[in-house]
Amino acid sequence: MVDWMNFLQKDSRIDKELVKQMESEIEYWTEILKRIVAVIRFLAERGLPFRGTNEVIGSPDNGNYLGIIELLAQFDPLLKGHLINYANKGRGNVSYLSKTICEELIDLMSKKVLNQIISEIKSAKYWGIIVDSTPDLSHVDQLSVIFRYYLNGHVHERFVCFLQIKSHTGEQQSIDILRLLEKYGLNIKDCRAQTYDNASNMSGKYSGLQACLKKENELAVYVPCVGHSLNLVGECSVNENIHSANFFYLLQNLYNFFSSSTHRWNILQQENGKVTSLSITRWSKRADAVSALVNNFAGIYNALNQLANDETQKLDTRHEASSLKNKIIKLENAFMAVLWHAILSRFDATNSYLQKVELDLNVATIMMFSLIEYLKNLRGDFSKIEKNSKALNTVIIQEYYDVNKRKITKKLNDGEKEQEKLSGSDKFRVNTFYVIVDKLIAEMHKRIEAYAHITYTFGFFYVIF
Amino acid sequence: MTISADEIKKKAENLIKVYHEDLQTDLIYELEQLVPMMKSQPQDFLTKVQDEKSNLISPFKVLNWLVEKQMIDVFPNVYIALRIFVTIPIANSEAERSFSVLKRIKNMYRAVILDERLTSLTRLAIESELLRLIEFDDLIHDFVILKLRKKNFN
Repeated sequence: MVDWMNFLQKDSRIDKELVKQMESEIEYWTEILKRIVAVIRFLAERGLPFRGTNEVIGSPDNGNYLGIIELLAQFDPLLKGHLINYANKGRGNVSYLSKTICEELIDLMSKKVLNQIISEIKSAKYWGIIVDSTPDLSHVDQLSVIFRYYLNGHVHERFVCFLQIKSHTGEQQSIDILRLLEKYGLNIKDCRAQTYDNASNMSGKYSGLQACLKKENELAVYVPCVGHSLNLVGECSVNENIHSANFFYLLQNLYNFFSSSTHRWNILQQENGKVTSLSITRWSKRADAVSALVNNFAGIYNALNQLANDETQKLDTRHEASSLKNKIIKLENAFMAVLWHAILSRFDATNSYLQKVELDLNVATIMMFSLIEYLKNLRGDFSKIEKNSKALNTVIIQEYYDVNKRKITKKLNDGEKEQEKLSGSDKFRVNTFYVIVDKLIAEMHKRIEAYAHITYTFGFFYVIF
Repeated sequence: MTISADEIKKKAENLIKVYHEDLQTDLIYELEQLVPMMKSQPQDFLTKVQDEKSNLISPFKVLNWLVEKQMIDVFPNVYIALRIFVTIPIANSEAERSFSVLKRIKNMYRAVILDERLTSLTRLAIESELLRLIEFDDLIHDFVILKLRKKNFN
């Protein structure tokens, strides 16, 4: 019996040496792997590429992964020894430096992060889902799936995965999402909210993704993304009126004109002018482009003027410059610049605020209501805006375009009264200014409507004492 | 702006009706206790639970206050209701952020990246804060054992 006990003790086992060797080997490889994992983590969290054109230690083209390992080896004797003994040995020799191991570790690490997220979601119990899709570089649609949950004093919005979607229909997407939930062991019954942009395949009332998921769980309320809502408000209102649509074309044309040649850009820089491209994704970022025009009007004008009068320039360049110049000095456009500057600067600030993760819906709707109030006040400020736009620069034409147009006098028949025709300032106020501001207000109301049911259910928490 | 106790009761009843699987009717009693309690808190309490911009009570902050004071067992239904509320997302900016990372990772030079790897790398890049918290010692250990065994059997 005692012998047996002794036998169980490692020291007296026949494979004592083997066990010892095994242990020291485990220790060695563990130390090596710690370094490798640290390098992978470093590259992964920065989104840097891993591999280069070859996998030869010592080659400058071996990519960031091997490159950083070499860098570390300069200061770390263990890793240095490892590279001397094991590197560049080719297939079949274990060095843990190959791409296979690297990929395996990336996979394991991301699974570990995923498991952490899923276990957090499970302990939070309730979650909301955020889904959006975008085509990537190789024209594959990537559906980004994000979960929102509250845990230990924080609201988290965590990225879980991309789904590659073949079909855009809400039904198909809901099948994909449900399959994903099943894979992760999450119950759709614990879903309390879903947020998408306002694309109809997602937000559609009958067969959109939100409707399909709602069939599974009626408590999964649909909340259209507030950011996208503001975007839509803007886009609808800009295209409501010819003057504002023209104005934004003009802004884009200004940018295109200056950015298409370095010479033009230099001249603009010399005149201290600045132009910005219109952002495609975020409407309120047009605020930058508008404020560039309002704040650097003189610079842009002078640069255009200089180019238009420069005889060394090609004729079409000069022509383009002078036609842009003539456009920006029109009172209509100056008015649009001042008006949109006033509107967009507020929209943009609000929009940025709405992107905070810990924001809740009621504050969001209140912010949107305050924008409406702001617009309502603005509606009464026509003459002030007009005054400011006339004062934008001395070169601004001080009258509306239609004032100088030839008036067509109609011959009157008996009993017919002359129709009252608006012109100049009045016409612009009624047909353009009010149309834009009213459209904005109406659109805002329409979008806020979508949140009414939730603010109705939960709103009282804001005023309980 | 405050609402009367009757109105709170009415609203709470509606809330219970909507979330009848999550909430019990006790919510009404819990609120009847909680509201006066919050009213009797010192002045700085208000600044603690207010939203900075709108000056309204922020349910999120009330929720954290309950957690901090360890009162979630006293007000279990309020705790649930508030948790449901803060779970409701209002914007999909996080999805848009993931697209920015996507564009960085799957770029011109790395266009042939496989879908699974793309998800892995994006997840690691976006949730880097989580990645830093995770201990990899176990993972490394398991990995070494697995590989050594394989090596010894060869």
